[in-house]
Amino acid sequence: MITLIKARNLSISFNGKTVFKSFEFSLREKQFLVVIGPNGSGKTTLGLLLAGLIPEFIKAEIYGTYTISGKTGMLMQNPSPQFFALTVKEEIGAALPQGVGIEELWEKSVFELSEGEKQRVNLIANLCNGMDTLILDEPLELLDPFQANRFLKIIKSFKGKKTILWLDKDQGFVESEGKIFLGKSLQKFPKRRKHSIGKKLLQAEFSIKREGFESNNINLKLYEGEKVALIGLNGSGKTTLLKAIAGLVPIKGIVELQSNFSFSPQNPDHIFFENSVQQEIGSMQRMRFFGLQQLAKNFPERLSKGQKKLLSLASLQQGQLYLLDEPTTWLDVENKATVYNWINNSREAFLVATHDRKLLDYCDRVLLIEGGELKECSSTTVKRFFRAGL
Amino acid sequence: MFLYNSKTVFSCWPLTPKLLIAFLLPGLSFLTQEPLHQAIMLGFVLLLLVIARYSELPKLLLSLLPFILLTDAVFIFLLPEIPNIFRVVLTANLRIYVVLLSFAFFSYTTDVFSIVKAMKRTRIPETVYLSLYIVLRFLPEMEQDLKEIRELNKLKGVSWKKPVRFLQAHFLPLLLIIFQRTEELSIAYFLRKKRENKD
Repeated sequence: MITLIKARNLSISFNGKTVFKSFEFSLREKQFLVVIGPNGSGKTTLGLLLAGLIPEFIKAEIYGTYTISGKTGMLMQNPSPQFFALTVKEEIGAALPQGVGIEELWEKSVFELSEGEKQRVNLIANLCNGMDTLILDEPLELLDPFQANRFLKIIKSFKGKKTILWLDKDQGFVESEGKIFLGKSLQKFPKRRKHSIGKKLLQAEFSIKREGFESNNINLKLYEGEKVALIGLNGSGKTTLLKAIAGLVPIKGIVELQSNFSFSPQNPDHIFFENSVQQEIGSMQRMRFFGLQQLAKNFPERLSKGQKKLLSLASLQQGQLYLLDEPTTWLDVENKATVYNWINNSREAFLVATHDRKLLDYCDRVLLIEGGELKECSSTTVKRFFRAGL
Repeated sequence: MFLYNSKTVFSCWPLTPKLLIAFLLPGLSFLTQEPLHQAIMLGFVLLLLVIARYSELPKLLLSLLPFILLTDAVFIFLLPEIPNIFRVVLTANLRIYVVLLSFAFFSYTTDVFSIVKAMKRTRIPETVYLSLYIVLRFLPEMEQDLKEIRELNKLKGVSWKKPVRFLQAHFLPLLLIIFQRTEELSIAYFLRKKRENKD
């Protein structure tokens, strides 16, 4: 077996700020290796270094030794900017690969593809173009369970044939493979706490008609102190529903809301414009609860994606009802535990759109959106939903 | 605005006749001084737009009208000594409509990427067409971002009453998102170039 990548005592720093210290690993040919590390531990930096971008394209100080033989490709988190060509055919640029399930996408254009499909095409384009090593940087982050399972299926079919280095913050998705930890990892989740449910807080009965989404009969009731999860595939209308309740989307029907609410969007990039984290949050107590006090003086845009997400939750206005859109994407295990704790211990009502299975354990009810219909769903339906596409 | 998934009667046409309409017709309208000729050309473009089912045609025509009338009034008021002033003004007005509507026809019936594809075929250097392509490819996403920002600011209660804060809340996030996008894009492009160089 040939060793493709070998790193010894590796450290990287940007402008004197160390990203990671004395990291050691080696990658053999046709090995499937997973590197796990929390938010801000330097996973992406490691990927960029191994893909050849860092000394060449981005300037950084590198200490220690590392050798890379062969060509290295990399797949990033966000599928959209990696897609340069107009059609799938042009993007892959080779003959149609058999048995990976993209036959039906072959002639489609970029604008017809969903995020998950784009990511799958990116993966196949990388695998089919003779890369020796492929680095995957949290590729499942923006995908729904169905698309994630399809993605994992392709990975499984290439296992043992290609060298793959997977960088992620969670370890739930792969069974016992070679694992390396970058930074320390903690896994301790709070226990479910039951809250008493009060009087009716929200009653909604409406129909929405929007491009790409149409629903005739949405019926939703929410009580004080109730935690409700909303699941559904990407593009099934979870965000639209939350926005309709928040009054951002025109609807036909009524939304009766008895109290004030606060809405947290999926992408945290759109909200921050203050000069520091402290100004964004306002209250010291809240900052301490979310563990952001060390970043208090930082400029919000300088934070990592996961930290921004946490800040977007911390800077929500107090209300009786929280509408959260994917509150745990980009968060590592420790930060996820913080969010679970927050949802678990607060007395307010929550309506949470999510792909995170663990989060469903802290909710009283689970609602599923499918084909424009909203329905209550049992634990077997949830199980089936998370196994779809396998 | 350009269309991304245009489905009009003229979408299946090749680029050349549409380009001819979009550039030759305005050119012709500058050559002639007859209001009748202008009217014929305008009628032709209007007919094309009606066939293409351009839904915003009345809106476009009406929204231009006040500006045109205003400029006409100023023109007539300032230069009363020109002979046949009304005829000149009428020609100018019709000309404005011909130019604008023929471009509207072009942009409405043409899929933007057919322009990029045509540029690719003529072997224009990659640096030229790629930048145009990237602008067009990511414009819808930026529009989406701006929409999202506007909605969130509405929820936060940021309004025009505090103009500085309003501008800050809208344009700071947008600017930072654009920088982030460019960084992501340049990394993705670098990786892609590496993938394509098979040596």
